[in-house]
Amino acid sequence: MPKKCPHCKLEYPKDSKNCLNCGRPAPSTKGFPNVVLAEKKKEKKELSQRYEAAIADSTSSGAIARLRQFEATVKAEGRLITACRLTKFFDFGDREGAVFPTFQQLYHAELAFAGDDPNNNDRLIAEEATLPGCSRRIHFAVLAIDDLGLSHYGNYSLIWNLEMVAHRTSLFIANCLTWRKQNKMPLNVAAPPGNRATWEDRHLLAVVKCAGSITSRTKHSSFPRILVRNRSKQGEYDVFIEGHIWGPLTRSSLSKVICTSAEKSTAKRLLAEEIADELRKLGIEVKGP
Amino acid sequence: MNAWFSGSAQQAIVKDGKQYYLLTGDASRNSQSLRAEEAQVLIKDWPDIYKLRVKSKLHASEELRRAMWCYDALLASSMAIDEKVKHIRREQAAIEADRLLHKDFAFSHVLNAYSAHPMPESADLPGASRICDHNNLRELGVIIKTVQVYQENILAVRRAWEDIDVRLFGQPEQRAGFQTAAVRSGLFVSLVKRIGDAKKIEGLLQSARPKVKLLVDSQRILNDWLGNADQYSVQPAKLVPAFTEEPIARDTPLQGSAPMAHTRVSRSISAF
Repeated sequence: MPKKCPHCKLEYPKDSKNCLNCGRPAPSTKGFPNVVLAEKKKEKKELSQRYEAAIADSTSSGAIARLRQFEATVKAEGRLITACRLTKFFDFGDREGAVFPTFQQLYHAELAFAGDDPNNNDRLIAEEATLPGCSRRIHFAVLAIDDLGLSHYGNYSLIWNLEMVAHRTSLFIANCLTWRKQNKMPLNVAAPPGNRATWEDRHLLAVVKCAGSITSRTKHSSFPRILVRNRSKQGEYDVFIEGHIWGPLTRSSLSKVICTSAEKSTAKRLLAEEIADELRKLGIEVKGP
Repeated sequence: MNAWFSGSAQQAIVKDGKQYYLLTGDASRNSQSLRAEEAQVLIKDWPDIYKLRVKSKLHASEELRRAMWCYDALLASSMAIDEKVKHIRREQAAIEADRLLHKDFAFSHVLNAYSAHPMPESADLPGASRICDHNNLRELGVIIKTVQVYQENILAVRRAWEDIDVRLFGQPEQRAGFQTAAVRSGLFVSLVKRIGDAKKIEGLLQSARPKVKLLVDSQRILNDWLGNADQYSVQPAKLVPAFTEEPIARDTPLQGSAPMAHTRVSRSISAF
């Protein structure tokens, strides 16, 4: 008999320690390890000091009104987005028992060259240093205030249902690998306090990160691109706050899916249409070409 | 130079010296240089990654087109088989699959893949077969009938694979690497054809060595696998020759001197 989650009311297998839909732990399980890290006193204190310093700087430069607007926008409209390709839907949009996802998972899992990274697993090292003991259970996302993520990761924006993910999300000030490289830090060393936040404190981290980009003349319409920016000729690194969502994600964890550019091949287009139909049946909004 | 490919992502990364370059399926774009960490982030999301040695970026670009073609062929074929997909879409997918399967390398790729895994529960092979008959889709029809006829053999070969002592592989990625070579070079197909016939399996042992010889402990793994296969008393499917005696592919993706290097499965399958 499956268990029924007391929070999201959906069923999950009885031997699972967490609800597979909203990730909340079964009663008696402790908090989410990434969130526990962000809740540490030292982290919160340092984040608060950096926030106050950013506010003070902005006040003296005359940009405080705009910065407060930005902060309020992040607090009110912040969402978590994962940009990805269609293949990610097999992880997030699996129809249980269906041929293609099932076959695809088997096939891909066994065909993948797990150790064949061109960069000696730097990313794995940096992720583990940022999220010790739990990095393998983390899904990555960006904190955004519109529905666009980092487009070069794929032509779909998966927008997560905050009811299902906010409680198990922590935030980090940037991509945990490139941030270390930019700051010339060893990859395997823990990040100093003040660079992560709980979901509730997302606006504080956003102010710390973006205050320097907001002047008295910054328009409200620029806020989304100040918070999330693809790499370009002007800036060689993506700019974003990295969302760390602990635990499993399912179709029911989604709020909305936006396709930003149509699939070019007929086979992929057909699959995309099929998946879109399935998601709509669940009440998930699907938009795009 | 080394290159990594993904048909699903429609991208390839080429490493030339210390520099990485990204190739995309969009032919109008030139290669774009990448930092190592960017390459790694991209590759992390490639579920169907494989690696080859290539002679040039042009060579890599040609291989990428093949990879994309193969991926689409497998995707469309699988949708055509899936009973949970809407009928009209299954039909459209079948027509597209048939078009893609006219290329030998795509035909081999799909047959190699289906020979390595028994069909899941929601596979509706008879339904797919009817769609093929109705629309006169010969290439997909051949694949589906072959997979139907050999399903028991595929299951037995899979069991023999699962029975291999995992310690022989060392790390999990070595098992994955071995399987990649075995699937892509057509070893699964070869064994599916021979399982139940000890003599033919013995013959396969000799001819299979070149396919996986660069892999760690390949000889012991092969011995174990083929030995396990010997234990399964599946009757060779006698209805057919669904596969002819193909020449053994000399190059595998791991050795990398030929693009994809699929086993050339005969296209003149006519016994059904």
